[in-house]
Amino acid sequence: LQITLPALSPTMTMGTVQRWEKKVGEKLSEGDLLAEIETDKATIGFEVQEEGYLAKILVPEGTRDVPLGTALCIIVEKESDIPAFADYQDTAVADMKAQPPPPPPPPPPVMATPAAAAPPQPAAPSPAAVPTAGPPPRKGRIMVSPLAKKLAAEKGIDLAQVKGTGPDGRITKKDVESFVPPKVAPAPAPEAIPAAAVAAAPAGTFTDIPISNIRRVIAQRLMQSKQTIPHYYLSVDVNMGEVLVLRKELNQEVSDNIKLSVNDFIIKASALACLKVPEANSSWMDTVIRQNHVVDISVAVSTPAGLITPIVFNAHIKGLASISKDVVSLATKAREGKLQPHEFQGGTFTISNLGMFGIKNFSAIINPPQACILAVGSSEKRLVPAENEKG
Amino acid sequence: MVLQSSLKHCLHLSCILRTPKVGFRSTATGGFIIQSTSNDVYQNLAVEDWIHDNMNLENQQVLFLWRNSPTVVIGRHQNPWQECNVRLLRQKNIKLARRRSGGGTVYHDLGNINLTFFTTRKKYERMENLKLVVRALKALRPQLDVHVTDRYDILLDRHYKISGTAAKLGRTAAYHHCTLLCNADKLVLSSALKSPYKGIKSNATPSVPASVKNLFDKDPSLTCEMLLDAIAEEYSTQHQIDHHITLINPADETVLPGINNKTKELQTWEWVYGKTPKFSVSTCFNMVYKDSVLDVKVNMEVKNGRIEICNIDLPRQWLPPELCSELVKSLTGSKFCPNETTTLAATLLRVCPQDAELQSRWNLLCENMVTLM
Repeated sequence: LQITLPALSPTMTMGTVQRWEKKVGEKLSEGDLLAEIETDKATIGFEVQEEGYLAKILVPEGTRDVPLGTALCIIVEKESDIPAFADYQDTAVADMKAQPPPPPPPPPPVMATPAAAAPPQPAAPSPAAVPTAGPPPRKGRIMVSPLAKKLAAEKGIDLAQVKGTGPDGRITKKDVESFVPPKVAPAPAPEAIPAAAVAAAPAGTFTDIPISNIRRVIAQRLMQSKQTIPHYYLSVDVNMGEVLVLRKELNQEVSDNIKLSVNDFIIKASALACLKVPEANSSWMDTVIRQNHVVDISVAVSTPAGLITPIVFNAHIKGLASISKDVVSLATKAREGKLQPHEFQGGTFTISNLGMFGIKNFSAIINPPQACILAVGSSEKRLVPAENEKG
Repeated sequence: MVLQSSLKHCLHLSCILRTPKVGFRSTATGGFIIQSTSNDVYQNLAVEDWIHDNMNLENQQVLFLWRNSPTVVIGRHQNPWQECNVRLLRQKNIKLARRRSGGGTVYHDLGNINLTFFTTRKKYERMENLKLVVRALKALRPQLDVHVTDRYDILLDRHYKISGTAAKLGRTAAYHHCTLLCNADKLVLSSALKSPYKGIKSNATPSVPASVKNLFDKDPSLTCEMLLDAIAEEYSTQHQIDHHITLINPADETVLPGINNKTKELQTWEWVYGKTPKFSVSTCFNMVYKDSVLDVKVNMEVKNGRIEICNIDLPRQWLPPELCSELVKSLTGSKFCPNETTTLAATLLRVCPQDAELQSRWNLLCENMVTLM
């Protein structure tokens, strides 16, 4: 049954097939949205008129100016009729459907298409399974081929757990067959999976979050740092009493748009300390150790894209107000993604402050090629024995 | 932004929505007029979605009036990089939104008014709506030379476009919305809508550029408020309803349950950028480094806003090849987005030996890559 492009609005003469809402092999119920058509500045939903299964898409997504009456797709009544159309004017869609295998015991390589060879673990560049940032199934539906669905039901497998490797994360027969509880290596021989192993995995025990490239690169860098740099840790408690008093006083004096934070004081103090101890303000450059005479403090800022360390340049000569302004501006820019490369490349010393989360202390990871990183925790009130009767 | 008309008053919208016939004469063409109290494009687009999804328009029609702070709105199936200067928008804090209706790209600011006509799918009639607008304009200023073209534009003096149209037809409901230029900033409009991005090939819906003019240019006594009022007047006459304009707050969940989710969705990167139809970028740029000029060729395929394939052709040995291939590998699969690219580039740089020369070359390359996005 060929579905042709009808006049979806009174003035329509042709349309652009912008998006197929159903995939080949999917069941179509009357009233379901089949495709989104754009014509003449209007976006129109094209609905399923008759029930059936989508057997073949003839006009791929993105095809512009399709005249009225052009055959768009083929719908069949019975699911078993679908494969007959697999080669019908073969185009885009990587058809993950298998030839209908007669009885249950699944003899594996019945997969007709080469795309089936993709291992269950999608690597980032693989076109078969793009790790989309949005939630995988649209409107809570799991994309699964009817055969896979049947197979899963027979084996008692919960489809919500199975990872799909077909187009758009669709679950295929192979996915169901090779489904095992997490730790097994990829692409096991399908016959080897006993039903018992599957039954053992309880429903919904994990969620796989795709690793973005930024995260991968940051992980690589941090791992390299931790593994190649011999870290050693020194802790000291700093008496902040007078700093807090000074901060309060200065904040009352200073103009309205600048509010000094405790971190600003820490930055300044660190910068001055770095001048006194240049070893802590150095860079390991493989053949030499560079002792820096200026102090550029990298300030760790958490953003949705990852941890970024924008730099307060020349912190050793900047005043507190100037440092404060810098930090606020850099943090805002970092969160809005507006930092320029020069603003976060470089730095001679890093400060990471988790005090606002109530963290008492932590061990930070050095930012190569720097020599040192300062990890700051929160301050707490403490009773200290007085030196004399007056305190 | 509130109309100063003395004829309007606030009715609780939920009364209207749930029992539509209460308070109005229920004729065959019942209807009412609402106006948004917000200038946020995402909130306003969300209202359109909400009405489209939730209201029963069988026995009534709705006219929705709204204005936005500076925004570029692209059509459902358009490519923002082809349609506007995405970089400039970010710099100037002009918002970018993708609407759900088709058609081309427009620039909105407070000098532009937006009208959305909601009807059932059967009663969808763009010509009629636009003629209504023209009637309203002529009632206000009889000498105005305005007319509707067969492309559903409204032209001033036969030549200048003052209104563009787009529509969405759903299962049972439909809406037609259009703009009307009263006093928008034409300078910002033209610079925002001028795309600097070269070498983009795609099947996305292209916009048809047109010369525009503000009604204000023709008649400085006109204001947005006057236009909104005139159109509301004409609409109420046409539908035989009272000239009441109900104000609605697009953030109010009690009146519009579920609206905040719709607003959020419209703001996501996945919607605004990720819904761009697949496209390829094939371009080259020159980098000036010290005394030489370097030719760099870049080819990328972008699908769902993410780089699927990436090739960067650099002069040999200008940068260590492993670093370049790391860059290409990292870019593949990541968003076609300057922030991501910048962060990736910076993070990658730290993984390799520090060398000022290398750093400045790397920065130069990455800055140039970022300008493509």
